[in-house]
This record gives sequence, C-alpha cells and structure tokens, in this order.
Amino acid sequence: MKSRFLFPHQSRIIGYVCIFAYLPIMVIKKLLHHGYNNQNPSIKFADASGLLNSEHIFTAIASILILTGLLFIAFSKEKVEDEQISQLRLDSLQWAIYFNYFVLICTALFTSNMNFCDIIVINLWTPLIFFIVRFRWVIFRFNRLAKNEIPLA
Amino acid sequence: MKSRFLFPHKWRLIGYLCFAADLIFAIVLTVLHPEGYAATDLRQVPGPGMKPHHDICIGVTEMRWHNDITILLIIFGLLLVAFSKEKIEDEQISQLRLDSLQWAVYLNYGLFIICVLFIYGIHFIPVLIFNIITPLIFFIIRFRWKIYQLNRLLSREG
Repeated sequence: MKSRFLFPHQSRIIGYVCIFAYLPIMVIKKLLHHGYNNQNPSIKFADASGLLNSEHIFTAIASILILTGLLFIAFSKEKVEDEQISQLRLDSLQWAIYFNYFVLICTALFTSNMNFCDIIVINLWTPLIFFIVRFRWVIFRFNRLAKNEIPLA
Repeated sequence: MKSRFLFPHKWRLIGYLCFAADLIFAIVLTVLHPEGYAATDLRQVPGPGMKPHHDICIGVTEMRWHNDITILLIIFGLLLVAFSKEKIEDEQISQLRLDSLQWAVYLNYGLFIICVLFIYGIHFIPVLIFNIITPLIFFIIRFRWKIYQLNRLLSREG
C-alpha cells in the first residue's frame, strides 16, 4: 500500500518553523491591539471591508503561515512508511474529523450566535491540530511498543 | 487491514435522508425569509449606535433554534454518508478512503487560501460557515467518484 499526496520528510521542519514564527507574531499582535478582539465580531468585520488594507494583508499572511505549517507537519512522510503507518494515518484523520464535528456540535448547542463566529474561525484549524496530536501520540505509543518487543524477539 | 470507526452500511440511507431533510428545511427557510436569515442574523446584532430591541431578541432566539437544527442535521447526514461501510470492505477501498480524505483536506485548505486572499470583512463569514461542511462534501464526491471508476473498471475486466 503506497502513500500518496505526502510531503517529503524534511518539510516537517519547515512546518515547525512556520508555526514558531506564527505564534510570536500573534502574541505581539494581541498585545498591540489590546481590546480589539473584545469587540463584537460583526463590528470588527464591518470595520474594515475593503480588500488590501493592512488588516487584510496581515490576516492573509498569518493564515497562509499557520496553514503551511500545520499541513507540512500533518502530512509529511514518516522516515519509514509502511502499511501500518498508513493505517494509523487513516485512523487518525477519521478520528480527528469525528472529534472535530463532535466538538463543533457541542459548541453549536451551547453558544449564542455571535460567539459562534469565533468558534467557526477556530474550527478552521482544529481538524489539523486534532489530527497532528492524535497521529503523533499513536506513533509514539507504537514506537514504545516496538522497543519493548525487541528484547523478547 | 481492518477498517475502524465506520458506521454500518445501512446507515448511509439515514444520512441521505438527513441531508434531504436539511435541504428541504433550508428551502423552506429561504422562502420564509427571502432576504436570507444568515444576513438578518448579523444585522440584528446591535451596531454601535443602536439599542437592542425586544423583537430582535425574540428573532435571535428563533434563529438560534433554526441554526442548531440545520447544523445538527447536515453534520449528522454528511458524516453518515461519508463514513458508512461499503458493502465489501477491502484494502483497496481503505486506500481510496485515505486518499480521498487527504485530497479533500488539501482541496478544502487550497480553496480557503484563495478565499482569504480575495475576500475580507463581513463577506468572509459565509466562507467560514461553508468551511464547516466543505471537507465532508469534497470527500464524499471524490470517494464516490473513485468507487464508481473502480466498479466500471472491474465490470469491464470481468
């Protein structure tokens, strides 16, 4: 079973670099624009409706940065690609999508309309984040199991 | 290679029913609120100089109920259609499923990047709302299409 649509193993490093570039940028932005995000989202969105103002360019660059980072980390090849890894990847991806929709449904039931705007913004990234966490965890457990089994063999 | 986390084959029918029910519900709502209830939804949030009105609050509660029902129906429907077992589950189907799922995630984020570049401000909210269901829709279309191709190939060979 061959794995298709995957990035080379090395690209994971680029992914981590993107994420570590993204986090400080967002923290600095939050510090500079203190209170901006506490506004009502509809006002926030209506504030700047034109294309290509500084806010739009910033959002676009930040989105591309975090997206590249998450995609590279999530879908880079493992050092050893075999059928079991493929199986783990499929399981994790499916699990991540289930979990994501489960969380989304819970939040849809328990939040009001305007808060829901924030939720769907976060919902953009959560499938990938859940997938990465779960896939890494399963691989970690799998490696530990494999290491424990070697002395017996 | 066993397939895990899948629903029984019959449940796909329930999924299609949910999806159809949601479509009918959406059409009825569009007929009742021709100006679009997602748009009124945003307009009803009091702007900077407006005071919240009592009627508006009732409207929002109704809207919330509608939104919850539609979101639940469409997500359940699409999940059931997407992740119900095939009649015959073998390794090739598993492979197709993984490929399609990954492909759907890529396509979804690709379109999202294009949207981010060309849409900003209040018009971005519909993009976010569609983004809830697009990965599943892309997955279903691509998976069904691949299965159809596979079946055609097999019947030609046989």
